Formats: sequence, structure tokens, C-alpha cells
Amino acid sequence: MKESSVNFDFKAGLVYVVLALLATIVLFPLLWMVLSSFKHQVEQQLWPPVWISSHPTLVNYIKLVDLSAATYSIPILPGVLNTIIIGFSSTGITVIIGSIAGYGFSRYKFRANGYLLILALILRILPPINVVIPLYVVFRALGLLDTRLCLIITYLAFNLPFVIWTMTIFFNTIPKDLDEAALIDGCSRVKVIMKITLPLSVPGVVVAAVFSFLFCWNEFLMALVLTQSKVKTLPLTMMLYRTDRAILWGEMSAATMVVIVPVIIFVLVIQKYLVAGLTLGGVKG
Amino acid sequence: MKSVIFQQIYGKPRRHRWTIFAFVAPAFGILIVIFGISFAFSIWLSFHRFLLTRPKLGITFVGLSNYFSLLWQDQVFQAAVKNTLLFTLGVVSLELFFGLLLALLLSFRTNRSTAALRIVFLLPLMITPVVVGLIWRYMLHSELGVINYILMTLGIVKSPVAWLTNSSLAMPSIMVADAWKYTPFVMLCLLAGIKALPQEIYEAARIDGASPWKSFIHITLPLIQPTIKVVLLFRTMDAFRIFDLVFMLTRGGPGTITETVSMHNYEVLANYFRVGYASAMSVMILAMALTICLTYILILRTKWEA
Repeated sequence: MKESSVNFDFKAGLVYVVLALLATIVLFPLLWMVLSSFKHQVEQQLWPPVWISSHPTLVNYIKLVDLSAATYSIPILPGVLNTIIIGFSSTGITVIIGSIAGYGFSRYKFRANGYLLILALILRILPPINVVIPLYVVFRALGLLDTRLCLIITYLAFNLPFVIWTMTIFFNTIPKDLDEAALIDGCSRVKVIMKITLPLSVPGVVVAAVFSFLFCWNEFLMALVLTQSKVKTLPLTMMLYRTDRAILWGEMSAATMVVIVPVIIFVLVIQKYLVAGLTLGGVKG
Repeated sequence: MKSVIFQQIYGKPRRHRWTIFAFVAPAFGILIVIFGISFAFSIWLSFHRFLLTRPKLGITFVGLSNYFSLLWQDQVFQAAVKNTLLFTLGVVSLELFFGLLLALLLSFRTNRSTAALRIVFLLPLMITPVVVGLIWRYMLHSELGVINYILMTLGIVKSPVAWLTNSSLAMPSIMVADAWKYTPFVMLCLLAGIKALPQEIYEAARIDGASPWKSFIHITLPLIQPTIKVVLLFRTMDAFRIFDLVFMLTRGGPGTITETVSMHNYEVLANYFRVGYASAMSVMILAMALTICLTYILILRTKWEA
């Protein structure tokens, strides 16, 4: 605010007022969920709505992890566990295979290079419903429906194009001269990758891994079609808070916090790489 | 000279080609197996009748009949195509307008407060789509919703509004929820584009007496046009396949007012188990998506090759 302290800059003031107003509107839904997650069930159902609970409570959060039958609720831990297992396995494999391909694309130029990259891009942005129907039939025939494996395989394929793109772009920023110097000094190609390229590409690998994992964390349609009851990922668990009898607003808002807080932390940590990650990455549906 | 070194490093050209193959093969092997088989299988299925509810009937060849009923009988599908295109057009314009506005406002000054505000505006983008649906369902609730309360307190509406069950408000409500989530994406990309522009042009324009509005129209807009095109491609393709929000907010209702192609396709598969028919529909959706996507890529191509 150095500029405006000298003489009041009307235009800058106006911009900040408009920005503050818009920020309030944007933040409001999130703030409302945070406030709701600390309200008792009775306060959730009041009209006019209660803004800040007169007796803030953690009961909604406790209900999420309470497995005893005394409270009717839907435990969130199986969903978290399933999502983490599926996310970690599929992300691990995707990042390894995708990085190898990305290295190939960045270090060797060949004619089909550009076409293959565009093909990968197109596969990434096509509607997933096209793939999910045949996969449903195939997995059903193989007896793999409602298992973690079928989601791991599906997410693996859906994340690959993004990892290939990210890693190709990232390896392109590591100078080829480094490789060539080491190769001339008698290093083998494998040793060059292990000793030079890999240590330098850690940030790229982290970005690719985080966004692949977030895709698994957020994905809804494919999980909805390919799993039924045994394997429920987090987004599917969220759906259950809308029961036949009522919507469990309290538990739902607490569960919302459980789902979004890790994502916000993850993304803030790798903020620098947001543009590349979000363009192709996993924060969308 | 360069080629000699090149050969020393990479070996003979022929071996070179096989090395590339070894690097790229695992990834594209998986892509071809999953996507290739899926597309081929769904095209094959689309020419057959295959009811999972009556497995004894098996899979019978029906020719183009699935496509005929899709194009001339299924009124829900026709409504869904119309709704999806309307939705796509609506949200993409909303998000482009507000995204550009936010990007311009935030690029006005670079200091700690705009950096903090940028993070605030990014938050909705990080929220799981299903959760976005739940949050908005909660806030738009006709009896308990806080949005009705605020609007009534401000005197904008007299009585509670049924946002999600009123046939003329359901679609705009979903659009608002979608715009809330994805405007930050547009903002972020455009902000990166604007920040990359050289400042000297603006100074030159100011010295020549150009108003901020004029320098926006004649400098900023033409220069960030490539970024806008890429953003439009991603947002259009994303909006076209909208599913999560519709599923959480209205399930296509009331009637077929908010039915989208992905939603209808899911229902045919999950509620009626008509695999052949669902496949035919997914092939149609794929054809539409590919048309949009390839049109964009052809327009963008010059930029990518550069």
C-alpha cells in the first residue's frame, strides 16, 4: 500500500473494494460449511438459520469416526482408506510409466512425437462416460467389478496423459548438455538417468504425483459405475450423507472438511506449479 | 561435426529408433489397451442389443437400430443434447467474463495483499466436485437454505425460492455452482498470461495518451488471445461432460430440464441396464466431443507447432 499512503489513490481503492466484495462472495459457501460443521443437529434445522452456533460442538466430527451402533451415522474411514490405497497404487504406477515416456519424448526427437502427445491430450479431455461403459462390461465379465483393482487400472489410464505431458515439459527444462557431458565422460544412459536426471526432476515428479492423486481423490463418475458396495471411495461416501430419511447436514459438513482440507494443503504446498497442474490435472471432475 | 557427436552419444540411427520405442511403449501400450479397446468395444456394442437385466437373451445384432431410436425416438436424449450445449455455452461465457475480470483486477498491483487474494479466489477450484454439489444443495435448500434467508433479509425475494425444483431456475442454479468452482481456473490461466506480457507496451500506450480501457481492448486482449483459446478448449470440454454437479443437485430434474448427455447416458446404463443402447449414446457423445475438440485444436495448431 505504499502508493496510496502518499496521496489516496482512488482507483486502487476502488479495485481493492471490488476485490474484497468478490472475495467475500467466493468465500461465503466455504465459511458456511465450516460454521455448520460445528453446529448441533437442532441448530442445522432452524429458520432463520443460525450463523454461529451458541454451543459449538465437535459431535459431527466424532460421529464420522464413531463405529458403535448407538449413533446412526456413516463412518468415513473406510472411504478414506479405500481412496488412499487406490490413489497411492495407481499414482505410483502412473508416475513411473509416465516419467519414462516423458523422458523419451524430451530426449529423443522423432516424427510421431507431436502426434502422440496430442493423442494423449485428446484422450485426457474426452468425456469419461465413453470409456466407463465398455470397461463396466469388461470388468463385469472378468469378475473385477466392485474391487480396488478395477479402479486402480482405470485411474492409471486416465492419469497417464497428464503425467506424460507434465514430465515431458519438465524434462525439457533440464538441459540436454548435462546428459551429453556425462555420456561423453563414459557414463551409461541408465547411470545418467539415475545420477543426473532423476535427482533434478524431483519437483516435476512431485507435481505429477500430487495431481494424479487428487484425481483419484475427487473422481466420481467412474467410481460410481465400477463399484457398488464393497469398495467405496471418498466421493461415493459423501453421497451417503443424503439418506432416504433425511440429509445428515451435520455429518455432511464435517465430512466436507475432511475431504477438502487435505486438498487445500496439498495445493498450497505446490502453489508454484499450479498452472501446469491445473490445466491437465486432477482437481476437476 | 554435430552429427558425429550425436552418433557417438546415441549410437547408430536405427538403434536410436528402437530406444524411443522402449521409452514410450509402456505408457502408450496401456493407453491403447484401455482407451483403444474401450472405444472399439463400445462401437461394437452399439450395434447390438445387450440387456444386463435379461442375460439369457444374450447379445443380438440389431444393426443401426440403436442409433435410429437415439436420433428419432429418444426425446430425453435430444433434450439432453440441447441442455448440455446450453449449459456449456452459459458456464463458459460466465467463467470467461468473471475469470477475466478477476485476472485484470488482481494484475492491477503485485503485492502481498493481491497474492493473498489470489489464494482466496483459488480455493473453490480445490474442492471435490461432489462436495461442491453438496455445499450448494445445502445453501440452495428451499426451506433451510441460507441463500433464501439472505435474499429475503435484503428484500430481494418475498418468499423462499425453490431453486433446484423450479423449472426455470434449476439450470441457472447449476450454472452458478459450476461457475463458482471453475472461474478460478480461468482466472489463474489468464493471470499467468497477463503477467507474462511486457510492461513497456503499457507505458508506451500511457505516454501516448491511451485510456486503461483502450489499452485493455487494443493491447491486453489481442496479446492474451492464445491463452484465452487454450482456456476455452479446456473449459468447453469439461463443461460438455458435466456429471457430478447435476447428479448431486438435481439428477436431471425437474422433468428433463437439467438432464445432460453424461447424466442421461449414466441413467440408461445404471437404471435400465441397456448396455447396447448406452454404448450407442456414448459413441454419439464421443463424436460430438471429438468434433468440438478437433475444431479447437485445428484453430490452435499453429500456436502449438511454433
